[in-house]
Amino acid sequence: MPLTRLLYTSTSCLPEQNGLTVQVNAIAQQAAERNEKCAVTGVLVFIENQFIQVLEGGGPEIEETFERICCDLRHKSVRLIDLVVVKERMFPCWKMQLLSDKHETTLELRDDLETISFLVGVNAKAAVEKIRKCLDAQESTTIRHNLVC
Amino acid sequence: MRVISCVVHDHNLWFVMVAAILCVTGSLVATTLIRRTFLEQGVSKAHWCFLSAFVAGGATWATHFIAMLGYQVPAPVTLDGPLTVSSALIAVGGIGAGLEIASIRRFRFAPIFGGATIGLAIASMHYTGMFAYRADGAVRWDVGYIIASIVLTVILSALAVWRLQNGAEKGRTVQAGLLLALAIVGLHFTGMAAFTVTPMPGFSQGADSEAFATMAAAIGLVTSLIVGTGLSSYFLERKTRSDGETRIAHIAMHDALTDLANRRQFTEALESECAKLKKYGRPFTLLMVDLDRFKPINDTLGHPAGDEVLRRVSRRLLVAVRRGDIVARIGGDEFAIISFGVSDATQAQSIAERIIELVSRPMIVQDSVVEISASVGVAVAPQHGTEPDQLTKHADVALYSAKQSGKHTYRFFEPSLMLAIQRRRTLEASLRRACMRDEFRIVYQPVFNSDGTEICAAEALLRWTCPERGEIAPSEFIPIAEEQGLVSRIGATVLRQTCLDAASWPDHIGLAVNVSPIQLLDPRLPQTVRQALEGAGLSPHRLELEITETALLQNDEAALKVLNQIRETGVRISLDDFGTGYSSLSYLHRFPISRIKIDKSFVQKLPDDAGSASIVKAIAQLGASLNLEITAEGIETSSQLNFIREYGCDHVQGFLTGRPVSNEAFIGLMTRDSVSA
Repeated sequence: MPLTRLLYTSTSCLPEQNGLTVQVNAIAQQAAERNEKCAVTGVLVFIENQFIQVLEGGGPEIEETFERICCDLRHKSVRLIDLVVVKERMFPCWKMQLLSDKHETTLELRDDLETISFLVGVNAKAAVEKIRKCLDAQESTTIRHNLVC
Repeated sequence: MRVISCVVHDHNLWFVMVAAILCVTGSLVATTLIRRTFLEQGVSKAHWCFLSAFVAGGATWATHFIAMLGYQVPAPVTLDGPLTVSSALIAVGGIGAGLEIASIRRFRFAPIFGGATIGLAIASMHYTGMFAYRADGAVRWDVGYIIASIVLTVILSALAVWRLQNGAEKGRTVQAGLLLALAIVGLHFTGMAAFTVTPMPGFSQGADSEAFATMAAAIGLVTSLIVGTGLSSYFLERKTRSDGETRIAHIAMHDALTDLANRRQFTEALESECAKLKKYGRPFTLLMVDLDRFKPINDTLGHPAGDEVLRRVSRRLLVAVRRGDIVARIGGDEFAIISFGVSDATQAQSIAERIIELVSRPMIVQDSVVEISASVGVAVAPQHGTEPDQLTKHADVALYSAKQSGKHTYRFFEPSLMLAIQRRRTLEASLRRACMRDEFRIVYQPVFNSDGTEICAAEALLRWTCPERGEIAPSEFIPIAEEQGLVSRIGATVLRQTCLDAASWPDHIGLAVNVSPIQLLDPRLPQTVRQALEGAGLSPHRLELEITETALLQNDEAALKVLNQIRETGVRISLDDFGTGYSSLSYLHRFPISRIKIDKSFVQKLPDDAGSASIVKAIAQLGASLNLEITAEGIETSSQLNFIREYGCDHVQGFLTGRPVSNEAFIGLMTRDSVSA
């Protein structure tokens, strides 16, 4: 079955006073639960009020998921950066991993996130690869138990 | 009296009770079914008639039979089998026949006759049943009671059926049912009152009550089964029918593709909202939504994809509006929204913004990315109107204005928009009239050599004074003429007139005439040009047609063909307003262009604006190297003229050197020129 990878960016409309981190965590959590049902995987990057999301899965599932994303009023300026057919997933083990810029984020990660944010506007493929590298770096520093490959 | 004492003393009251219950429920169910029978025709009517007859007949017979089993006679009793069975068949058959009679439509008294037949059937059933009842004793019949019983039941049955057909809507089934029950019970007990048995001496044994009780129970059960089946069939049918009706009602009020409300539901909702507004002062907002760039999707991706886009848009619209608002699809890619209780502009604005935001987000349809946008027109009730037509019109005007201001936006209705549209309508009408009557004037703006001393040509400019609105700028009326399909006609007139005028000028003075992009797409243009030249006897090399880049953008193959044909006749082509559009350099060598006219927006910023200065210089150099003549338009100051002269433009044109004037004045200018020269 052909796989599709989709990359989009958007600007958050989340109210800041309610604790952005909590809200973004909740979104990623909810997405992960939904995605598990339709075998969609990916990463959600949140930096400086911007969402960068990679979705991977079957064509119809991606279409449906993206349509749902486009009906969400918690963000705006949705820009579809890339939609490609791929042979294999770059994020097979992540239901919807969150990479976000919070208070406790290391300086290194923050740099990486900024690089991703820049790359998205320039080269979609490089941005996706950078996200993957960033995730791998995270994995090596923190041992994760809950990931099932 | 005799009847009551017959019930109380001669009958076992338990049996009487069972019979009564069966009778009343049976009658109620029967009338329900009979009523349904009357509504039907053809085969369905026959089915309903059959069911009704069985339920009514069964109930009647069971009532009679159980009550009779409860009749206490001090004598042995036997029952004649065939007669008992035929009594039941008489009841069913007779009632069926009565129903058929009652439902004859053309006959006014049909219900009365039908009802009477039913009454007679009940009576026949009863007395046949009585013949089957053999008591060993002296049996005596009282003819008075017999007649009374028959008359009573016939009248009551007729009343019951008549009531069913003609009574008030509410409760008529129950009333008819009770009348029917009364007919059955009344007949039975009056009939029984007519009947007395005196036991034969020597026999004192009564009826076998235990066997009778069993029989009564069995009959009661079977009858309940019949009545219950009748009732179930009725409810089942009603459920199926109402499901069907609900579905049909849904189809009638909804758009098949998107399942949104359709135009009909929208119109009804709008009318009812307007009525509520007047009654309770409840405000609401009407939003008209039109998709931008939708048609190309159907053309390029196909109709299934277009349909899918419409479905997605519908869902997004439902997300954008508030719960309970009505979203309707009222045309191909047109939607209308009624937003209840929204009265202030801020609320309506946020809905409109959400619509525009959501619709403009990308969509993936059949592996293709589709990006469309929406224009929204908003009318708020009651500020912008209280009548459905007025509100719809005003929201449409606002939508039109949103489309005019570049799409992908929303506009609220304003009275000034109405004025703008009215102005446009008047202009359209006047323009059409002007076209018939040749009400246009042509003025000529002299084109000088770059010294600004010698006239070498004139650009013909069209002027129009609308009888109602006064002088109208070409930038306003030309687009209207283009839209109304008048431009080719106006253009031909202008060509003819200007060629005639120019023929009276000195031979070295050229003529420049503007040609609109629409004219350029008209394959008859070369012929029109030729005819104008021949008609005036003007040499083709003196005529120059000015075109704009937009003409080449739209359909460059067709334009190229037309232009080449014109160029072949010797008429030259110049590119007007150069530098403002795409300024694609490929046009300069692909098309037979011999002159570039630098747009006045650059010239007017000379000589101080460095950017404009460089552009003008560059264009002048480009002209020199491509062997094209250059004209600078819009010269207003002498410093501009000096700059232009320095950078080698061939010709100049502008208010400094000469304003547009009439043909006579232009001829005057030339003679003065030649005199001074």
